[in-house]
Amino acid sequence: MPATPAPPAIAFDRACKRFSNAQPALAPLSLDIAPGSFVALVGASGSGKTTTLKLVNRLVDPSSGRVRVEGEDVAALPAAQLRRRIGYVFQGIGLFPHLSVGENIGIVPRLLGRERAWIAARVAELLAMVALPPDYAARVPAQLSGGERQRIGIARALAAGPKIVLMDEPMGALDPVTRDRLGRDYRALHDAQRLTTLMVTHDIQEALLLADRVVVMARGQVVADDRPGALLGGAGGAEAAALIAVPREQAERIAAMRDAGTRHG
Amino acid sequence: MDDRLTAALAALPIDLAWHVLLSAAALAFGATVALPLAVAAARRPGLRAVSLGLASAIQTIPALALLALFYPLLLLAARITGGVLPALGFLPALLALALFALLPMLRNAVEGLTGLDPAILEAADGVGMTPGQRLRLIEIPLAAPVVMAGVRTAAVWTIGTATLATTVGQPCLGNLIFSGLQTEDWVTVLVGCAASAALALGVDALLGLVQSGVARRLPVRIAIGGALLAAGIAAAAFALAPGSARATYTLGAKNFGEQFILARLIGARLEATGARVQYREGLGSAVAFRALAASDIDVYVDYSGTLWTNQMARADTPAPAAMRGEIVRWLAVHGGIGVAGALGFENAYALAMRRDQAAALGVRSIADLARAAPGLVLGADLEFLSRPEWRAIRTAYDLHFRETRAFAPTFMYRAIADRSVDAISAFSSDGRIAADDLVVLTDPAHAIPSYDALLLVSPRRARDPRLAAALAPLVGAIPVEAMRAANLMVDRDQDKQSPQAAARWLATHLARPAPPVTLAPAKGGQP
Repeated sequence: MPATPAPPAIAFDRACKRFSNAQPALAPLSLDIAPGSFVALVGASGSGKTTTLKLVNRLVDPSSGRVRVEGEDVAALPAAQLRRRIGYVFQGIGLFPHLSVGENIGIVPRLLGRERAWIAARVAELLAMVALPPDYAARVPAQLSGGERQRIGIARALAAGPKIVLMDEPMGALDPVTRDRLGRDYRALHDAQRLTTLMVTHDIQEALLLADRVVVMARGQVVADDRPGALLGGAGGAEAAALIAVPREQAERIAAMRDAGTRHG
Repeated sequence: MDDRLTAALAALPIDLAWHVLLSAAALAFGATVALPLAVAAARRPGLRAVSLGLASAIQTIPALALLALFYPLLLLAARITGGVLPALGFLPALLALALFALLPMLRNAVEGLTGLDPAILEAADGVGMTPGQRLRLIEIPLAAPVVMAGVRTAAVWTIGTATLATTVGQPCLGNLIFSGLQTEDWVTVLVGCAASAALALGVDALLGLVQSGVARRLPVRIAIGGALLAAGIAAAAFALAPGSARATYTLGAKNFGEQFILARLIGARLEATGARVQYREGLGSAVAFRALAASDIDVYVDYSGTLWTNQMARADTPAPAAMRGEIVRWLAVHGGIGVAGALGFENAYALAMRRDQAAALGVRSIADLARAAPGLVLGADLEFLSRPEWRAIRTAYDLHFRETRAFAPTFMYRAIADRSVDAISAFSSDGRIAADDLVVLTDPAHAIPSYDALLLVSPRRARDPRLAAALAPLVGAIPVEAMRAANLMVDRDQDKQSPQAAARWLATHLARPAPPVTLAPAKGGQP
């Protein structure tokens, strides 16, 4: 008899979300996310990917079905306590404009009743982790660049040492260079901290480059679910292939231009 | 220095201190209602619509009417609960002003709380804040600058509107404004207005400092602004703290010069005995009477004819002595109001003519006037021609003028002086009768009820020996000529005096306190 396997970090069990209108935002969804994995949820606006993400920390409650985090039914947990043990990186970054960088990073430990000195040490540690100088703790968000703000957003999500991190379009507003750099840095952090990450993005290229597993959604349903390599090999069916075709075709056009430049240059 | 300016500046500290305390209390009370209500309303659209609608509706009620409404409301509340509620003074003023302060604070706070970036609020939920933590750590700090702007608006409105508290008997800067307006003493009016405006500007500036501290997260500014505001309130409270346990008497006055003079005359006599005195001036006739009945004021002067028609609702006109007797008995039975006595003059509706013309026509009484009237023009104040006194005179003397014309009082006296009219309706104690050399025609048929000036004493003070001793020498001591002269001092355009100065003059021109006007057997009314 094999030992009882560890429960999935996140499990969706026929979770369904129906807002007031007839069309369900999310058709019954079943999905297990293994501890330590990095899963990207990809799809167009309205595909149900953000709703799926918010079911995990109860920013949205399912109309039917269940969501479990580390084996526990989230419906049975007080929402505030559940959220404090799950890191969340917001689409609009969502830093609190009236609090300093240090206070923003330290907000969850503060809610958990940690001491002031412990929080200060943790803030310094996290600033180093996201590669920002320690004096940033005294600044306010308005003094930071977009990339710096999102690093603070990530530091805030990790402040209380969560095992699970949810990211909602974390790099949507950044320029391509910053975005690539931050993506790689986060992936390294994910591996070093042994996190489980569920990231929502509309950018298939970002998903393919960062994630271990890509879940493609459309019209509230999962249309493809596989490793990046398999998807690139055509495993995901027509919808996934269509999504992948665009960046692939762009990359080929750029390669062709480079080749032409080499020939004529 | 000008005597009126001296008097106004002497009254200023106490009026200002009351004004500060009243405004601060009204703002604090308004804020304790408006701000929690705004928090609740920000989350419930139905409550938001109802509360903002109600606050706006309150704002459409004229401030004066709202203040006046609290008087009967509090009397009713006291009757229903069987408790004792002061229906005059601080409480009604506080409640009315707090209601007025609601709207700007509520509206700004709701706007501040509902206008927050939804992404920030989702982030607050997402990091695991409970609704209470989200409110305390995120929503209130972010909405605070907008909320403070509402508090500033409310403060300026409240300080301005608080000048109306005079009308419900609460001392404030309005005392200077209203008493100055009644006696056309513009110096006093200006002192009151300037003090009120300066207070509003000063408070606005300090709250502005606090607001900028809140918005820019500069705690030093919040501390400085807050400390100065608190110091102002503390100074006001200190100024009003009773210096000792001396007895305090509250003197009422209706809203015209003669009443101000008499209140000061009585007040000076009480102060001479070592008592503390405060004034509730500018009261409406009905308010003054009910305030006395409720012992909110201790003494004021009213007129027998006014009590007869307004309070006792009588239409007949018995002889003056019989009427006084009935009034004293009625007052003793209805609430135990005491009558210390009659001052000795009347302030009645009367008909007056120029002395020369009256002599030429041989007119001394209204009966004489009736013979000459078909060739004459009557000038009247705006109210007289619709009053029962006029109907009574017309019927009693079969009086028919060639023409009747209505004027504002000032213009009525001009009209008789320049011979545009031949006779006017006048008040018998009006100073301008002597000044314009007019004669008051006698009323042999007693068609006009008598308007003897009576010293009324509240039930609480009806047996107060100090008050009785202070009032006794005034009984029967003020001849109408002396009252007219004192009234003229505050009413005239040139060399205008303050009511205090006129009261001082009157105190030295009292008739010998000869046999006081006989009052019918009084039950506890007479000292």
